[in-house]
Amino acid sequence: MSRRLPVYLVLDCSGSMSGDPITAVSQGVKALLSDLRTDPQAIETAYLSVITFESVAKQVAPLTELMSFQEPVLISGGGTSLGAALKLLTQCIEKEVQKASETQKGDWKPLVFLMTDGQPTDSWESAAAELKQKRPANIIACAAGSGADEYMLKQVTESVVKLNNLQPDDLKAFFKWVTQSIKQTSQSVAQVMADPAINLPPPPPGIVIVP
Amino acid sequence: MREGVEDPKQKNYPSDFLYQVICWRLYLQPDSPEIENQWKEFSKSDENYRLYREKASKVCTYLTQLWRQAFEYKLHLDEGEEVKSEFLGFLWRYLLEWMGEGENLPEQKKYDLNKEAEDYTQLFQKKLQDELCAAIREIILNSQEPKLPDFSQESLKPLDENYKQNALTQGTKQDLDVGVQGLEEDIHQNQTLENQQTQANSALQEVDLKQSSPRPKLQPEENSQSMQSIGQWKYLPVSDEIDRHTDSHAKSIQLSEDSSIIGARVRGKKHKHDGTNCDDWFEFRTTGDWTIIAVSDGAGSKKFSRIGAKLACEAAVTQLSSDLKSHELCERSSLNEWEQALERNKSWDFLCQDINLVQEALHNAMRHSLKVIDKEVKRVYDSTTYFELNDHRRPEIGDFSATLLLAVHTSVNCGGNTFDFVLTCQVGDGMLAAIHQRGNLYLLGKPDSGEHAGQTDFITSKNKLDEANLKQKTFAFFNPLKALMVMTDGVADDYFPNNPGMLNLYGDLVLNQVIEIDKPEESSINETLEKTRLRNLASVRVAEERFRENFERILGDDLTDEPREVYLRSTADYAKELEKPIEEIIKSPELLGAGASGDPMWHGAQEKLPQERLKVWLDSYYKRGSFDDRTLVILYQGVKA
Repeated sequence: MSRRLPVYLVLDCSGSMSGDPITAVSQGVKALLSDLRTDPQAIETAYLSVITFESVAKQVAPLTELMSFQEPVLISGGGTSLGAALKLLTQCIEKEVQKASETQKGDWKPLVFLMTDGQPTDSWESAAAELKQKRPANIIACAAGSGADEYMLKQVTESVVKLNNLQPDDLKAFFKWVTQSIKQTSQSVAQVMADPAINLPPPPPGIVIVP
Repeated sequence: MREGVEDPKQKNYPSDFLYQVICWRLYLQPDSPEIENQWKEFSKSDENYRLYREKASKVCTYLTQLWRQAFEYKLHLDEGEEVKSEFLGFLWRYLLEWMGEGENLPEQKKYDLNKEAEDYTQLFQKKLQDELCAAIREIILNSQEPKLPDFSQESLKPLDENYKQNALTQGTKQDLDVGVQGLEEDIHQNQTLENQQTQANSALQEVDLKQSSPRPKLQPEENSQSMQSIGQWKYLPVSDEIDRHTDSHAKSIQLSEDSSIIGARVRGKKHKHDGTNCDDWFEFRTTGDWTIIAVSDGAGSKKFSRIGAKLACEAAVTQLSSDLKSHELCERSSLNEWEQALERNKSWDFLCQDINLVQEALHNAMRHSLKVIDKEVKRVYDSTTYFELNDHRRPEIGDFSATLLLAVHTSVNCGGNTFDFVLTCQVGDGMLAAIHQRGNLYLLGKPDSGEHAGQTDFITSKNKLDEANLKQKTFAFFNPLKALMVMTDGVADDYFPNNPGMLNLYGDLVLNQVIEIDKPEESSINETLEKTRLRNLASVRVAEERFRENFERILGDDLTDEPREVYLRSTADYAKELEKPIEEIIKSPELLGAGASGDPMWHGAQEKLPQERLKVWLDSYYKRGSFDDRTLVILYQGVKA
């Protein structure tokens, strides 16, 4: 079994995402998939999973290789259970990501892209603290739109970006950037790095890195 | 009508739509009012329009180059690549017809190819359209220029029977519309010109059935749902830089009547795809009674690491040659004496001086390699070439980072029997392994891994060459040897865990006839097979398709004397068929002999030298996620000459 690059998309499907935003997110995922499929290295290395959260959190697509991946249907409605999402993410990583052992090479450190457009409606602080402390993955959080709180996301991870609004074009650009990041990471992990750190491509206009 | 065109929301896939617009404007797609409307919508956005201009410019450049070649041919300005150019001349005729000037073409010129010229003509047209569309798609999806289409005789063979039928029904050259419609039909039916891919199965289906990863595809496959291609591994030659390494290298030395050493290194898939150098290197040499082996892997992220790898190997082998040339191990008359001689004290030195000297020589060689690299860094410190290549930084020793694996071997007579003495030392990843004459595996290396996954140490890393550290990485072997293998992680990782993976590696080399072993008598082979699930040689032949697979290679076009496809056996799958563990197979010359009976990897492989076969095998075997350069050196007992 070779080393895989696990990629988790954790997507806010709360009521405020209804309409254009959720459609744009669906299409973003679809575009991400077909774009990644044009990169032979990503095909052999990257594995994708999708976790959605509204009132509850659900893993709507388990960690799957790109060629067999089926895009999940995204439906919006309900609250914003970020805490549940973070807990579920931790569980999925624990269950699905291979650790290095005598008999197998472990997977590369997973990449997580978390996107939310509003304030969490459940208790999330302890789950966030655990993630930030344990660091089982490289997490990039995206505060999408004016209702999202980027400083809250800073408690989950150091790498936070902000989308100024939820327009389809901005969401599309965000997913394009996510795709580039995955490609770049899957290319660099294959090299023996003297100093491995995930280096992401610069974000497009409309997406700001939160310092 | 093609899917994905109706819904204006589809403009969210710029690539799909750009492809359609560009092909439509070039008459490579049928006209439709929808495209016009969609274009109006699409081009409203500045970003979209900018993207269109960018991609269209690239297509423009590409097409210009293509026609230029054609005109150069027609005007006899080209250097005379006859076979290719003949068909390039076709482009001009095609262009004329496109513009409606067909009637000016001299009748006899049209069919000067062979008696099936008419079929060929339509083939060219169709292929031209296919090639152009494929190239345009690639330009839109990737940032790299596609190669200009190959219209040589070779690429048009073999002519698929089915395809020939379609070619005939597509109408004549003059009827352009029908030709384009034919193109559309073809795409819907998922047909391509390649014989191997004439099934309608898309890459997706193939993967579902096999539950394994897609094989490297050399042509873009079209899936019926979208126009985007499944990513394929490309071959790009290395652009000229300093110290450009060859794609691959192979070498051998006959050591004695029945033992020899072969080695090969090949450029990995990733480097081929990116058009960058192979970062591996190996050297071996005989000196006095000794065989000396050095293998090295340059750090992927470091600009001059391949130079570091080369210098390290050369320096180490030179130094060891000098130190060991007149060194002889003491005579010992019993195995017992040898066992004692190989013991080490608390400081990890060997108790006996003749052996300890070899350890010292190995460590000396490691340090000498580092010195040589250091000297090179100083030599190029002021070089502007190096400065520019290094992203405008002066070169420093870290830019030459490389691993280094060393092994020395000599034959020893003990009590009338021949034994093999091997001493190894390793800095970085990769592996050294020995297989006992009886088939047991001895790992003679311990790869360094840095703090994080995917990291390793190099000879240029801090403190790696400390005496204490090197002693920990020095291993001895004293037994009759079947094979000694030294390799970079490009190979070692594909046979992980190395115990028993290294046995699978040896098995694969034998089963694919890279190395030839003494085959027992057929009767003896059948006798042994009776105790397995396959009972006899005939059954093994029948079962072979379950442990053998076809692989397409990723090669440059200039390699015409190498096979483009090889048929490889897998020891792991062979073991499953026999229902025997790998250890048992390697221990048994009969079982190995049975697995290795049958056709070679490709027709004509037996006429090649063993190191050539090793090179082709290294370049061809497939393991998912394995894109690194591959280097393997084997010292082995083979067929008695």
